[in-house]
Amino acid sequence: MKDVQIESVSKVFGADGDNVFTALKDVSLAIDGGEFLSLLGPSGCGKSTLLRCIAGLEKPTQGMVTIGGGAGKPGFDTIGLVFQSSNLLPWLSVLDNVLYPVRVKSRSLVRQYRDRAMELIDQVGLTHVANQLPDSLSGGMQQRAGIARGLVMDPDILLMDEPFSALDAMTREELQFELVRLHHETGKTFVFVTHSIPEAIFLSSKIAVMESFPGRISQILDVEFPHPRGLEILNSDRAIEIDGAIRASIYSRSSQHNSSSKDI
Amino acid sequence: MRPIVLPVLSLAALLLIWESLVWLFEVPSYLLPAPSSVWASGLQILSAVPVHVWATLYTVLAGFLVSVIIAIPLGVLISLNRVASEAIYPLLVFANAIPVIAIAPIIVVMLGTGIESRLVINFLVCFFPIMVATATGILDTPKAYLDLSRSTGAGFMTSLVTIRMPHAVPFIFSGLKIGITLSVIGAVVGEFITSNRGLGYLIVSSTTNFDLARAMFAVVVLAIMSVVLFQGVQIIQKFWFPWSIKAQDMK
Ligand SMILES: Nc1ncnc2c1ncn2[C@@H]1O[C@H](COP(=O)(O)OP(=O)(O)O)[C@@H](O)[C@H]1O
Ligand SMILES: [Mg+2]
Repeated sequence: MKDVQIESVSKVFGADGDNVFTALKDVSLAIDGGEFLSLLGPSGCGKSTLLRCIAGLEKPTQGMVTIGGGAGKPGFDTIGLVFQSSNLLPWLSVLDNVLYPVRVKSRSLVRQYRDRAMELIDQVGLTHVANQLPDSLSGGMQQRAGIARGLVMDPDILLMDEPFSALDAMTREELQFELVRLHHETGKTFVFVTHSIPEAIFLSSKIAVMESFPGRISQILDVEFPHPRGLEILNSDRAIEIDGAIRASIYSRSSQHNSSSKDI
Repeated sequence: MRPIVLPVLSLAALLLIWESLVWLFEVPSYLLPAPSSVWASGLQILSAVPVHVWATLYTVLAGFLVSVIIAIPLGVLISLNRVASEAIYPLLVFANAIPVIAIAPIIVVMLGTGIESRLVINFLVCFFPIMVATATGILDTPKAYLDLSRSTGAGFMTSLVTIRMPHAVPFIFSGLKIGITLSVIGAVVGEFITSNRGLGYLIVSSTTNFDLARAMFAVVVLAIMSVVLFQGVQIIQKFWFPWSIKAQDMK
């Protein structure tokens, strides 16, 4: 179980050109090992950018991200990544897609990881399509395969960028249940990007609410519901309280925005 | 069934009209031979046909192979390396802009009347679309795929081999399909300039004798060869890269 420390991270795009844009400004966040943390905020507030900084795909302009207390770069098997669209490679079968991170690490490892990959595929209920190409799968099945791929190297941390946003409501609910179960079973650290408040409440142990212009964290909320969770927790007083707090912090700001623009 | 029956019917109708017009107006065969005389003249030289077909086919396939072997790595190189691309791409565009029929006689003087000349002519005609298709495919690779490979620790070569190249496959096949057709043209041009066999030679030697029926027969054989080769590329794609057919359809 590894923790993630985000210390005063800023990200400026186009710093050397005309289109200077501050996507993240002075973001600090401590994610404990085994936590299910959701990054929640309106579109464009820098959720993906922050996730990419954790994944090492983007280098912070200022500040730093430390994983597992270790200085220096974490190994690539410390982190698994699940994308918004499933991002499966259309030329590989589901099994080979799940094995892709292994293939990158070393070709000779692929055989060794086959059983593990099949086990993960079984856990996400795709055994019957393991040898099919991704385009024959439904959106939900593709996203399941994407999650299995994120887990194949047995990473300590699983990063997910709006993995369910392209799915229909029912499939989405189904996968939310599975994700909660997966988190409970593996005990890994999950970082989950979403713009759905109920989704964040249902899944998370902690929610970081973000604001835009510039992107930053406005509020961090603990979600203490015990596991296993059912959807009824969303109707509890505590959930309504959390929901209200999140909406207050998001909308108060946008109304400030409106009134200040009226003043001008 | 209908997509086969209809064109066959309209072809038959066309040939019938052509045949009857030639008979009706008594068009001399050195101006326009009737389909039946094209057929008859084909039967006449039937025993010699395989030699000509093989000669042309050999040039087409060898030239195509050389082009593929050079054009694909070149396409990868110019798509990935800015300096290489700036240094050689304009030259390749220029080489491609030269009308091959204009430079063919020069090549023959330089390289002689052997297969070498024909291979070079062939290469000049068909390498470009293959190279451009390859480069386009490599550059078209979605950023998300590259993010995936980078997030798993893939270096430049690994991401080239496991992401960019496979993604380019449907593009490359588009280029190959254009290339194989152009390769037939290149082979015929080569045979027009220098050869003593092949379907291109057969056309030239027949027309100098005003034997249009025989020339047309050679043209028909060439067209059939072109279609068969095109289908051959398609079959290779279907067999080894079945996923790429769908990817291509979506483009
Ligand atoms: N590579 C980039 N270059 C320039 N601007 C970018 C880049 N990536 C993201 N941005 C900008 O940063 C802001 C935050 O983007 P993102 O992190 O994707 O937001 P979110 O995921 O919350 O919707 C957006 O306004 C976006 O236009
Ligand atoms: Mg995003």
